Amino acid sequence: MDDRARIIAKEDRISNLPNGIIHRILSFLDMKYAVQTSALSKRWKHIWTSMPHLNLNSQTFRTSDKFVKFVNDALSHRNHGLEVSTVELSVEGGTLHFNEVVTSVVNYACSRNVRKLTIEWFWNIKLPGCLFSCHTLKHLTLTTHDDTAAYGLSVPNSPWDFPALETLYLTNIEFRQIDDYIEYRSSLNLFSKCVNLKDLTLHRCYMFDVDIFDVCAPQLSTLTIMDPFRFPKVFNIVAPKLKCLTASVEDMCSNFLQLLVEDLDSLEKVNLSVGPHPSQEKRHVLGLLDLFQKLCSAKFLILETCSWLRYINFHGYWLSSLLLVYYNLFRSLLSTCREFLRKPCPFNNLKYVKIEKQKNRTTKVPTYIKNYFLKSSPRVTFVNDLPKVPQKRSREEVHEGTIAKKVSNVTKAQQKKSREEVDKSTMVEKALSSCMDQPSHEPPPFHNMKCLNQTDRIPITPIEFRNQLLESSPSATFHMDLPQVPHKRSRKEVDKGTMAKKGLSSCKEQLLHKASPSNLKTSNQKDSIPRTPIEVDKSQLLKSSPSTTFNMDLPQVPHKRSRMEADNDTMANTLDKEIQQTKIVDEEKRRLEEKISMQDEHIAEQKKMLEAMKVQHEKKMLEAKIHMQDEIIAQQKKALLEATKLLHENGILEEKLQDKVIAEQKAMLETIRLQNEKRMLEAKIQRQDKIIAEQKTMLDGMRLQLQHEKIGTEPGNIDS
Amino acid sequence: MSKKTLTLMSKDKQLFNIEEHLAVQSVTIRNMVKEDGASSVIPLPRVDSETLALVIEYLNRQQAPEEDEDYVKKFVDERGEIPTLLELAQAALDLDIKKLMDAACMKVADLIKDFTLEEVREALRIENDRTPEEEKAIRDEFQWAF
Repeated sequence: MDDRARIIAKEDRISNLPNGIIHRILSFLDMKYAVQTSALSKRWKHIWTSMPHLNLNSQTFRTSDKFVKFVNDALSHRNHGLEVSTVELSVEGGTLHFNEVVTSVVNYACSRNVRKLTIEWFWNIKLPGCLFSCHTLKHLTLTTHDDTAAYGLSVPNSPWDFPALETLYLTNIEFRQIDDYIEYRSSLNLFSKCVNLKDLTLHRCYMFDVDIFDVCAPQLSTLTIMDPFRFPKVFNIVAPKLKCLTASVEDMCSNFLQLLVEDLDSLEKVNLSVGPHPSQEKRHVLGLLDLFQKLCSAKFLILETCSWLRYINFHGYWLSSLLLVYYNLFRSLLSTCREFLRKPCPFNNLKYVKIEKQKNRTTKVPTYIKNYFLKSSPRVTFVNDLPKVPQKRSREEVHEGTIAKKVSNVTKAQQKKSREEVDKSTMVEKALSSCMDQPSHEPPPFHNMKCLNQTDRIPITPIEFRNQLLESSPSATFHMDLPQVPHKRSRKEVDKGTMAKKGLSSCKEQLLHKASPSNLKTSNQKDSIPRTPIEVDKSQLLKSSPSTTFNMDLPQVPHKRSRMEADNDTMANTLDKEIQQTKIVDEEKRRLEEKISMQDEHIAEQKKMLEAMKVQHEKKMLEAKIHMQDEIIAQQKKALLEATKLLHENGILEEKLQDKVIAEQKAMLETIRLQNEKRMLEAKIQRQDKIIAEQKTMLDGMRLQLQHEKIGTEPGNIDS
Repeated sequence: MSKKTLTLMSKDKQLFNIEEHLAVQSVTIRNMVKEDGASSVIPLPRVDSETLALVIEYLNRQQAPEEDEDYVKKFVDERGEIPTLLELAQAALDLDIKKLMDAACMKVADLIKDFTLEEVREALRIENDRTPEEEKAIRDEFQWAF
């Protein structure tokens, strides 16, 4: 009964759903459906009239006339005292009636304090002027799906009066300066009254003869200018709270994005969509450089392909601006690119650079392009397409940063000493400086670098590049992708540092003060080849960066080397003794040679013995085989005899006797054949025996000869 | 600072514990906590224990912000029966958990969007209290919507 009562209670509760729930459910459905629910029951007749969410779609009606009638009737039947929070209007298919519908819906919404308004249309429509002075509107979306129909849509060219507006999303809107007959002043300033605007999107905008398009909004934090048909000559952006800027850098008419910016101090993320235009690459590069300089306070930089260009395959090139720079190098635009890369990168606070790659291309970001960013933004991380990477990295970086600090403290004392060593190796330094590239001489501008991550496949950061970085950021460590590695390395480094130092100092003394014998020289050279680069690095780096640490890729290698060096040291100490003892060594050598010859003889004898053993073994095996065959023959004979006896008993005499005789003859033949085989084998065995005997005698002779030779050599030794 | 636990009591007097920082996703509970510190048991006289268990499960989710939307969608998808969803929506309305209520209502809307009126009546336990003549009169009145 309890269960049943509970079910009944539940059903009651459902049938008495509060209007809030019903309104919310209906808000996800089309308005036409919502009105139809009035037929469900008496209670439902008026529920829809107070729902705050209107969802009007012309596509749910067969004709535009029916839709127009529906909208008019539905609006007139609504509870007029209530506000409307959200209105979505979608008119597809063209008729002049839709202007009427749009006007009445917008008027209705604005008069009822609408907060969110979305209008989508397909055909050219006219927006009522009252829309652009709606003081309650928080979110406005104006979208047309037809690229060609948008032009001519009239939006006011005086400032839009949306004091509450937070989100504005405009697609396919044409902006046009109409009042220019009074005074030629082709600038548009539409958002200055939108004092609460936080998120502005201009998608596929068309600026018809607009010189300056002002985006002046004090609260604006996100600005998106994507896939434009036509840019104004200049976007004037005055948005002190702008955090995120997403923009295509080139419009459909090949105009480059021009920005005039004022205090973008809050800027964090810049996402530039790049479309390479083969005929205008130089301009493109310069334009990009200009953008970099204007957006230099950004911490995140994303460069990707402009979405409408994704459909066009430009000779299979990697569609990214940086690769564009890369390709420019090969297109004899060297001057531009060098200029581009030689100037310090304007971004001085970048954390991540994401460079989109074209699919099925494994081309890496060239190192010099990375260097370009790294010169002024030492903490920059090059991110691939993984969205979660940045978050993880930033955590790791914090960790790594602290480790790097520790390591730098620990190794400071050591490095002061190693500086002195460095002075000694000026020769090496000279050689290095001649090999270094030009940019290495210019110290990078940053001085506080902690760590550097590279996520590409280049296994080791190029040495020149490290040097460059470390010149001004002494506590920098170079990390590969694995987060654990830096920690381990930094610990090992401390050990290695001391080990290597010992090894180095001892080896140096050796080199400077001792004329080492020929044997030792060669062994030292082997060592010095891998070791020299380390010294070179240090000398270069430690001059300006006393707390530098260096990681090799294989952590074990330096350790081993330093051990070898230590061995060499002891070798050198004992060298003189060794020279004195060379004679003794020679004698020992001779004795050893003798021993070796004796052992050789032994081995030869043993080999022969083995061969003999083998032959004997084979002989035994053959004999055993013959024995087996004999037994088989005997058995067969017995069987034959029994068979004949049986035949006799059965009374079948003459024919069977003949058969028996034949069988016996066959058996006889078999035995003869087997005997022959036996004889053949015995003969073979005898022959092998003979060979063995001969070999034995040969061995004896050789032994005698060897003894003679020994006797002959020993007196010679004594003489020499 | 140890995590404070709140106790919620369902219509059928069952008690549920939940950590305060998770419970305050409900605006109703947040306001109660603000007002009187939510010292003792919070009674929810309109929510049965089955539904409250679901609500607690929802509040205890540990999703990353970017995965939360998918999780909520999946959460209501798995309770795809209209009565359960409506109970959940009502509980979410009472407790003022907007995300959960929206997700539940959206799922219901999705389920009933192709239903005939008769099927909607059945699904939402609506008794047709009109005579056929009255119903025809209504359909005529709103014929522009049919």
